[in-house]
Amino acid sequence: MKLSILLILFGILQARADVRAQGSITLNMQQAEIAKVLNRIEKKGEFRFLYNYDLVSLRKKVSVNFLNSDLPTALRHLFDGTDLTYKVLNNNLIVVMSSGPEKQAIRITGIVTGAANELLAGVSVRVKGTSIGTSTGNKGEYTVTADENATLVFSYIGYSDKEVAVSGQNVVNVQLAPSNTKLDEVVVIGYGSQRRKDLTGAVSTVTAADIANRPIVDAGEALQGKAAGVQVMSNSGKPGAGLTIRVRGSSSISAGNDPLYVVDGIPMTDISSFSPGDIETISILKDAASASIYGTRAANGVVVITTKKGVAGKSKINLSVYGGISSSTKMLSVLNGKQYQDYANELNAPVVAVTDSMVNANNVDWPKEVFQKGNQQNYQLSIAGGSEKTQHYISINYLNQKGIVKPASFDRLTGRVNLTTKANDWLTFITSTVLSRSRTNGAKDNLSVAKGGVVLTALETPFTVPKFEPDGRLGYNALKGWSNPLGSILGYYSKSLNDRLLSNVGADVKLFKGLVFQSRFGIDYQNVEATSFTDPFLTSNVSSGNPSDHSQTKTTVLTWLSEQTLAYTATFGRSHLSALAGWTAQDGRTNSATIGGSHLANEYRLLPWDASFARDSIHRPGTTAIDEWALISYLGRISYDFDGKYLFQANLRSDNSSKFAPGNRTAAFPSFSAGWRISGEDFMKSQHIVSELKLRAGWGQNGNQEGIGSYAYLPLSDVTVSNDSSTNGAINPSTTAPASLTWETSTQTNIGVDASFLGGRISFSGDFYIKKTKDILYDVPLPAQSGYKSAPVNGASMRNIGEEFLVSTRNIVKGDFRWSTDLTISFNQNKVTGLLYGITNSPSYGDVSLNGAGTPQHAISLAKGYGLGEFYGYVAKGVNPENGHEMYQTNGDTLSDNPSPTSRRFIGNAQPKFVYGVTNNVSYKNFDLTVFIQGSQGNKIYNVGRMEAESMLNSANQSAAVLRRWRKKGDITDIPSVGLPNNSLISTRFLENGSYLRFKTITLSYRFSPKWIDKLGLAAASIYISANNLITITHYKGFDPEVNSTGNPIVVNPNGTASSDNDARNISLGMDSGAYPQSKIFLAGLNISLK
Amino acid sequence: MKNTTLHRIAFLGALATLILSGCTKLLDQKPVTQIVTPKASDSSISANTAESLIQGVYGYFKGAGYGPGIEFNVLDRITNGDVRSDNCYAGGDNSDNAAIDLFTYNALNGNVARDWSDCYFVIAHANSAIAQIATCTDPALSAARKNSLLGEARFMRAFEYFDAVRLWGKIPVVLVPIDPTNSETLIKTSGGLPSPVDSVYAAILNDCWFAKAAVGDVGADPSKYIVSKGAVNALLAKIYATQSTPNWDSVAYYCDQVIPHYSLLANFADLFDINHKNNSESIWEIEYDGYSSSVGNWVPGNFMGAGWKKFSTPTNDLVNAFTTEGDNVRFNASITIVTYGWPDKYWTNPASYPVLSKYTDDQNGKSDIYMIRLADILLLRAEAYNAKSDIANAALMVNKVRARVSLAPTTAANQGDMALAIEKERRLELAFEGQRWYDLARTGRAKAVMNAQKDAGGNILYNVQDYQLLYPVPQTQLDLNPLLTQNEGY
Repeated sequence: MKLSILLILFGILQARADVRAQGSITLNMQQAEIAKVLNRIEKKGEFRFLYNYDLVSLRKKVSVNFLNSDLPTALRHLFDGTDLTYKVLNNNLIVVMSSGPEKQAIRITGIVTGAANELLAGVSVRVKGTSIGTSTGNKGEYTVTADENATLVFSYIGYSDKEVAVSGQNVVNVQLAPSNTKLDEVVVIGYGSQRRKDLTGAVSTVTAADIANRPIVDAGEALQGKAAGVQVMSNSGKPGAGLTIRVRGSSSISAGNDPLYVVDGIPMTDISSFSPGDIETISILKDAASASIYGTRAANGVVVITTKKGVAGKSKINLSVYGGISSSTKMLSVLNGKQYQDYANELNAPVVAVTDSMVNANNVDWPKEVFQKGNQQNYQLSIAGGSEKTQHYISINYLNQKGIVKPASFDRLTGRVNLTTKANDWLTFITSTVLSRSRTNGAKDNLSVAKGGVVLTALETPFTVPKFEPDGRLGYNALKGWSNPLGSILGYYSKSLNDRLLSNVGADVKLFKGLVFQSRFGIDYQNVEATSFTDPFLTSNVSSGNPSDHSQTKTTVLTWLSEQTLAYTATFGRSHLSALAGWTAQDGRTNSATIGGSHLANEYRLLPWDASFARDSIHRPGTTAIDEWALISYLGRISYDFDGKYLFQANLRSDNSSKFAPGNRTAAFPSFSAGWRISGEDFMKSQHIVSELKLRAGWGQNGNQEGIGSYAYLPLSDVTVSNDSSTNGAINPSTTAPASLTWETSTQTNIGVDASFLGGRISFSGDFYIKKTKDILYDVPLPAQSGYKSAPVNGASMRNIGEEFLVSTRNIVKGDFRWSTDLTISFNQNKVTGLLYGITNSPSYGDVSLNGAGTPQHAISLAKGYGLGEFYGYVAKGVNPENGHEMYQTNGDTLSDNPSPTSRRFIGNAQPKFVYGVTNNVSYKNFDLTVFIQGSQGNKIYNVGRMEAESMLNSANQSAAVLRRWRKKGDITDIPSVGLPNNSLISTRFLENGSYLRFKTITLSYRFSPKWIDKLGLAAASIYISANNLITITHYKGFDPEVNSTGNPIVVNPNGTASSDNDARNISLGMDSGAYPQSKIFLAGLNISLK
Repeated sequence: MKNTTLHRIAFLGALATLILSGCTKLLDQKPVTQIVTPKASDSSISANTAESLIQGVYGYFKGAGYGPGIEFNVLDRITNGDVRSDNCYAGGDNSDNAAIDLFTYNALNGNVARDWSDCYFVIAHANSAIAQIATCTDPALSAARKNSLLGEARFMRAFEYFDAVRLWGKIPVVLVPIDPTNSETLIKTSGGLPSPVDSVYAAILNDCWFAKAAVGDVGADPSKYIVSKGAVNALLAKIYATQSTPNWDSVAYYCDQVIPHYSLLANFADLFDINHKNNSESIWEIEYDGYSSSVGNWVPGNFMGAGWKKFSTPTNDLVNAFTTEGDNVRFNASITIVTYGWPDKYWTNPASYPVLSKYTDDQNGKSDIYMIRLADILLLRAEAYNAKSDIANAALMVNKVRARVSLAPTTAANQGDMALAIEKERRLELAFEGQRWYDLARTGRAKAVMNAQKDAGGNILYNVQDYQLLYPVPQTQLDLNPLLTQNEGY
């Protein structure tokens, strides 16, 4: 609909004689815009109008009452008191135009600066009341064409909007003030966005600024210590290792506890493929009121991620590079060769197991050999820009991490294209596409020495063990036989290649004023190839079953999403209403195929994987698995506020899930919330202390179905695929069916307050919540005679109560020196309030396989009245000086070195009482210093590594602590004698305080002045140095208190048997089974923007 | 402009059509690579499914598809029968094994817990198959075949209960499948009181009698893993010999049902190489086809071959017993002296360390294990003769076994000596076949024999108490099933 063409046409037609319009008009409208009246006349079918939508007079509200009026009469009446006039063309086509003096369109340029006169790039500049606009370039400059009487609106994230009347000037320079309060910011919520001011739910946000200049690999890391109510725990320091993220505690036992991620509108469970540098904002929807729009998947909170978009104007090209080195945050000391000899011979007395010649022959400092320096580098290039019609954001990112223990490494290449294009004034197309390839080279961690765990093997391989035997095989401990750590480094690899394509395409259709239809289609396609190999020659002294092993699993996951929503906004006087209704469908299908082989002849071991696999003398039968789930949902939301002071919101989502039995598939989740912006009341206007004050309250329900197997409502049997005819096709029962399997339902009540004081110098946000979850999927362990290990039922209930606070202060705001502080602190109390069938104490979690024992012992119990991660064991009471036996408290008040299992008790919990983060930003002229401290308080860690390294049961090397061991009658010490299994029972002896305070990030950056870099063709440039995990204050004796051995997300077994793994993830918290340690990282980085 | 509205509506309509079509079936997802287990009483399975179910029981029993059978029926058979007795030290460095060797185990012992679970898992698996096969009305499954399948599964169930009752005494007896279609009911009903020992034996015998009539004759199937009448009769003989008051007439009767169908292999060592599977001496044998099959026998690698300090190392006492007897054939087929370099207080010379080498294939997983073989039954028959004071016939049986390994006839001349001669013969013949502890236990000799054991330095090794003749009920099971009670003494 090119108006200009029509106007030219009109110009030609004007030369002809006037044509009279035929027909009459009957119409009655009150307080309607003139455009709307014309529209209504048009609808009656006799007349058609042509006009420029931008004519201001068309917005004038009039009241008309025509009864069989002819056109000239009606229009004269309608246009009365305006500058509008009209011409009638052929076929009752009428052109409406302005008769007033032709307004002068002028070219306006200017520069936009911030409070410190710094040039602001990317500031949105719009002509008020029109769709005309641009954004500032790298030097804060802009050019826009507008009416000489127009008003320009400048807006920029973090700054208050500013309106400036042009008043005929050609140059309009503007200085923006930082926004008074966080309440002005726009917050992305589920299916939309809201000003923080208007929020009635509990939403935390993290922005690109929190991610910048930090070596963040997975966007989830950015939430640690920055978002109140969110606990982020690195499972280990291994490159590419996952995170455990809990929003307001845990609420499930056997299903998932991880939040749902929504990236540019697509719900997903894994965000590790994305470049954090592409992220614009992250919103964490914490309470039921804000999350319930995601219904059955929202009980664990929702993390909504929005990626960067282009802005019309000159293209901005940014390059960010950083590189750094990493090393272990701590080293543990072990026995040297001589000390080991002393120990081993004491253990094996009267036999002399380790001779002097063995000690002299080799002296390999294994921890030093294994723990090396790692490195990390990251490159991100982005181009953002576009025209009024089409905006683009294109980026490419490469990240490479080499771990401190070989061969662990991770690298990722990501490309992204985000595009928005306006097809016309009512139709906008939006698309974003990410392609990513990541490669992970694993390291065997969280495993005992017997299973080849490289971390524990590094600590437990005696210095007397050679690197290689004379024939070239790996050296092994003659007394024990496990390979030295090189077995896991040289003799074995486990690689995975993960390709991912995530793409969505959508359209926004403006149907009528205030009514927008949004349509989105997305696909998420992943192809994962996991390959492992054990070298037959190098490892041939190692007993790891077969002399060699090949294994490969290829998995493809295709998830598609269709999402159709209608959004309506309207204003009636001082009332604002917005409503949303939608329908979505999502389907995920996983296909996997596994092959494997063994018994490779040595001569083929150096061939590429596929070539050597082909030469295996034994091939295992290939297996495949398919898994598919679907979810169809209806959703709705109504938000209403009166005068911005009284705010209400209601959400409803109804879900239909394929994971449940027919007839049991539908559930609805409502929520309601309200807010009162007290600071908007007249009685608050007279004071200047409180700038903003809002009370919020909300109630709602969410569901959880993540982690529930796709076919978990059916009793399943496996079919054996085998090369031998005697068992091929054999049927083996595998799972039982909960007849009434259903969603877990969380009901949450939230009360919050948002406030800012002294013109925004201090802002505060606090929330209190009670979250009760019922129908929790609980994989009830069964007595063995049932034939099943466990049966899943919706049989438990849990409660989380918590408080979370965010305080931001701008301590010094004037002059060259500026200082601001952000503090978040989150308290959560988690408690299992009910377990079905009278189960009160189920100590079958927290597996400990001391010295590789085939059947694990258990350090954690699931118990009514206690939180998840409740440690259960004996209470150790020190070493008996008489005989060197560790003594334990029995049921009575007596001590025993052979306590009955019934004297075990609850000895502590893995969940912290609170977690916190403090960020201080200090800037002086062009220097910026950020110090980010983060910590956890009140949590316990069960140190399995220490238990093994102090057990003194076999010929493994031991921790240096055993130098204090009991040796003779009368010795008073905390380390018992050698060789007694009962000395290392699961007890308080190995349970440690896991609290820590960590200087997570210290970054010093310098911004170059424009005058320096101008000649280089740069618009902006900064350099920085950064230290991560530099100082950690803790009593924890292991490598690092930030550890969670069982936290790694286990790929859900396509046959739906992941529930027991979920149990481990959810219940077995705080276990350190030889996890790959965290590293200290020193970085240097550079950010530049091209002109 | 009117066009615009039309366009908008048309656009919307097209989208709506696109998105709403093809979504109706979306929620009906069904498992593809797994099958839905029917409730046994409602099932109507095909003949093929019945065959697949029995394959499942056989496979599970021996550990196919990560089934638990191999740990309980192979690895721990030797731990419970030989390590717990005077045949083996625990070896290796596994604290749970060591506790069993040293009689320091309690209710948290990992092996004991694993054995209880594994044993019941095999039983439950058999229960499930028995119930489903029983409902099969497919004419393609003949009545005889159906009966045989049921008999085979019931035999395997009886075999496991026989192990369990010998390990723990009173135990819950479950003979019907649990219903996997309702977890809630399952959880409420999966507990259960333990049955007295006599009732457990009654159930075992019941299964055996059914199986005896139903399964195929000896040789009907070339694989000795497929349960035959010979296997059932042999198990019956062992059961009657084990009950607290042995019924020697029944032992004699069932031994006599077995003996004519089998013959001893000429060369003792042939029994344990991998080229004489399903031989004439084998009565019931778990067949392992190696790592390319659904399960390879990985157990021998725990006893011998390159690698770490081995599990289940032979005792000084056993090595002496072979030496004293001059039994080179069986010694050489059972034990290898190696130089590994890890001396301990039992074997102090690193250059002369004995390892268990009866199962010869530690590389390819093809070693079979005999559950019952003829020599066992011949010696049991000897016991039955001896119990009736028929020393001559007892000697005849013993000497058959001795002659094969070039040993002179036994010199035992009275009932007491003969009992000890048979005990020793069983020890040497059946070493590392999981028999020794049960022999000592059923003859009441366990405590006396064990408490006389000494280490290399001449120190008494064990102080076995009466209550330790039974294992403790695993603490986890006590926690899960409040109806269970702990065995006395623990």
